[in-house]
Amino acid sequence: MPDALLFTVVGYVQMALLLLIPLELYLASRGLINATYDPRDTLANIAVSIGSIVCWGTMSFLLLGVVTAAYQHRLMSIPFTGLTFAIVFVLEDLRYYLWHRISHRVRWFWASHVVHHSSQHFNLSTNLRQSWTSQFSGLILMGVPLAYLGFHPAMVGLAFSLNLVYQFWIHTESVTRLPAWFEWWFNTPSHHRVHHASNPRYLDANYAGVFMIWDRLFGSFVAEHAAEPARYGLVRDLSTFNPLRIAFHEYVAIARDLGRPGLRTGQRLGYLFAPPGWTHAGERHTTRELRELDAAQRGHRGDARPDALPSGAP
Amino acid sequence: MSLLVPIATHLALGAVLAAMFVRYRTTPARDALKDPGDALRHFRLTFPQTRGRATLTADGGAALVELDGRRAVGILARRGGRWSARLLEPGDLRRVAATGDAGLRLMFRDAGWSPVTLLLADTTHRAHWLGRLAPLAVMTEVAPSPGAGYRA
Repeated sequence: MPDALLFTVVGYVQMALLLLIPLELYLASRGLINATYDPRDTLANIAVSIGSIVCWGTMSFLLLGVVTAAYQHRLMSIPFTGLTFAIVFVLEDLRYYLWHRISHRVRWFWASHVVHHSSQHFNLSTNLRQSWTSQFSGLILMGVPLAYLGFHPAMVGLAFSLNLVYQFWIHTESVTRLPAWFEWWFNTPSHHRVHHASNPRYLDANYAGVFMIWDRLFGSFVAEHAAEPARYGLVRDLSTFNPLRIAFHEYVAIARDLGRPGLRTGQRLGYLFAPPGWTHAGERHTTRELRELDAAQRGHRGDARPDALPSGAP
Repeated sequence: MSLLVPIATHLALGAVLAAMFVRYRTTPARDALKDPGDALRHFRLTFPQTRGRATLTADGGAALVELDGRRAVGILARRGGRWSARLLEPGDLRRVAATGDAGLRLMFRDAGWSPVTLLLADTTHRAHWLGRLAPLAVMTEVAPSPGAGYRA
């Protein structure tokens, strides 16, 4: 088992990373790097983060309970070694990819994850804008397979924590491009800017946590184009810095849609589990439709993603 | 690790950043809208096919857009250093009210937009837009939720 000290160290590393936020802000104010900080946006990020910590901290027994129960019925017992930890780190990153993709493609889960994408800015403090409801959405069940396979929950938890540590530094505009080999294998600020962008051609792309290989394998990779800078935020803007509105606005929207008169059961389920933007009457657009409309304007098919296929190893 | 440690860390970070925001400028200058054409240009970043006429607020910090051939009204509002745009369909407004000399107070039914107060140039403009927006606050049908779920 990983020693408890390891978790303590990772916890302090996560908090130490917060120091990079004032550093980025200071360097940006001196014109030394490219970053924009809006005071109210940044302070909203911090408020949302505190809410997220409280929700995570008070409800983490749900995740622990589910994963521990799965581990008690495990197929085998996998020891904690360097090799097995490397394996669980990669598998945990694959779990993250799948979790992330579902979180964008199913509205119920999007209602939780939308919080992280709701800022119109993209800087290190954007990291802090995290969901308050991820423990309740049901996706904690995705923690089951690795524990059921035989990886101790502490190993999985450590891999998850390190995954999050890695993802901190990619929320920045100050890093343009890294060496090609690194950009090919790993998630980078460039790839993650695309992920946070609301430009139609960038929608539903680059879900990776650490290894970009998942997006390349599963066809969701899109490269950043210098000619089209990312516009951050949601396709339909939020206009609020209120942490409660940021945390719950999509649930309110779902409730409004479910309250439409005369819906059939299938249509109500659609408002919960179809992709964001779906409506039974078609008056809104899903992200796929937005991409196709945009692609039609550009003169090629929207579902053909020229960047989706591996174009060759570095 | 106790929850108090990360929460205290965040509060300290917030205090440090708030102090830095007083000392350093880190966002581009917040230019006001120059004219109706400028408002439409910003609005079209979100709604590219928009055709219509924009009315600016007195400070150039927001605009209402009369959309050609549509019941809906467009609104563009500065929120911090960025512009936010949306359509106002029937039922989207919880309340619209006159306020001050030439102001309009809009409250939305969805949670994605905080209430806004628009200070128009004069009472004539205010009367026009009050008449135009008031019907949108009447719940004739359950309209789609504009902030909802478009971005994935």
